[in-house]
Amino acid sequence: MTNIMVERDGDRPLWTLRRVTGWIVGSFVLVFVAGIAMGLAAAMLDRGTGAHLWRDRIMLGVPVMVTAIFGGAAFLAMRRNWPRRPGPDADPWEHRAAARARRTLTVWAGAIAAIALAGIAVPIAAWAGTDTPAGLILLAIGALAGIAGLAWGTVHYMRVIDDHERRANLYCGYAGLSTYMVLFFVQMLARKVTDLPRMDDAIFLITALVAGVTFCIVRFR
Amino acid sequence: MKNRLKVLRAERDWSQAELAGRLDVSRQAVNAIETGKYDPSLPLAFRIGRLFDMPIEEIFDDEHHG
Repeated sequence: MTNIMVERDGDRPLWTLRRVTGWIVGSFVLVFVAGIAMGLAAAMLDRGTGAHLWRDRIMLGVPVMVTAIFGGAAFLAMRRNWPRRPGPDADPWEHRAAARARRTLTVWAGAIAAIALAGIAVPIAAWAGTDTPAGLILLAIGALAGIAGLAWGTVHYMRVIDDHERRANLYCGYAGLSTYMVLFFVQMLARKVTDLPRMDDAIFLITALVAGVTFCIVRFR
Repeated sequence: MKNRLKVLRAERDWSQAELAGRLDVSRQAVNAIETGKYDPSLPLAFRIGRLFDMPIEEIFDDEHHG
């Protein structure tokens, strides 16, 4: 009978413990810093009137947290030498695998950072007012960063991922589209028979959440 | 679709990560194929066949056919 082997890694338990601890501590620090940044930004956006405080917090806080968490994760990963570079006497497949992981990480981090930058720049531009030069410049930066990030990320990302991850993207896109359409039509019908306010922000956040969770389940389970 | 990937990998004393590296896919992709959660594309199936020097039909078993 064939003896099925398990994953081999000499110092895996200790290495895994250190990695997990690092991620947990790092995540708490990042969320704490992102929370402070979010509060400061919301106060700035609010201009002391107290109006739209929570809407502005969400509007600016989500991209700030996304930038902080993904940027911090990429920083921690690189600081901890992940994906580990194989030695000079390693097999060719080890070099290919490490290069592939680095390419994927670079595309992920670059695209997410660009899109998150757009998410930060656009609401600040809205606050500054698009009738001022500063507001227009911020709006242009946000739009360009978002478009460039999406285009660059999509082209390179689809080149570096494997079939399994493409499948995860397919499920993620389908789940996101279905969620958005269902919620949009539910809102439309509900608004015809009630005086329900528009909830586009909530629909967007729920759609993004469903798509993200679907991707993670199919890709990493 | 059933397959013999796990057995073939074990015979060569390869980890999932090592097989993934040789196939240029992620470790999770190898795990998903081995557990039957995911059927590989035709190009990937050919790469698997070439890596183990076996015809595809000796690695993958289409239980619904015939």
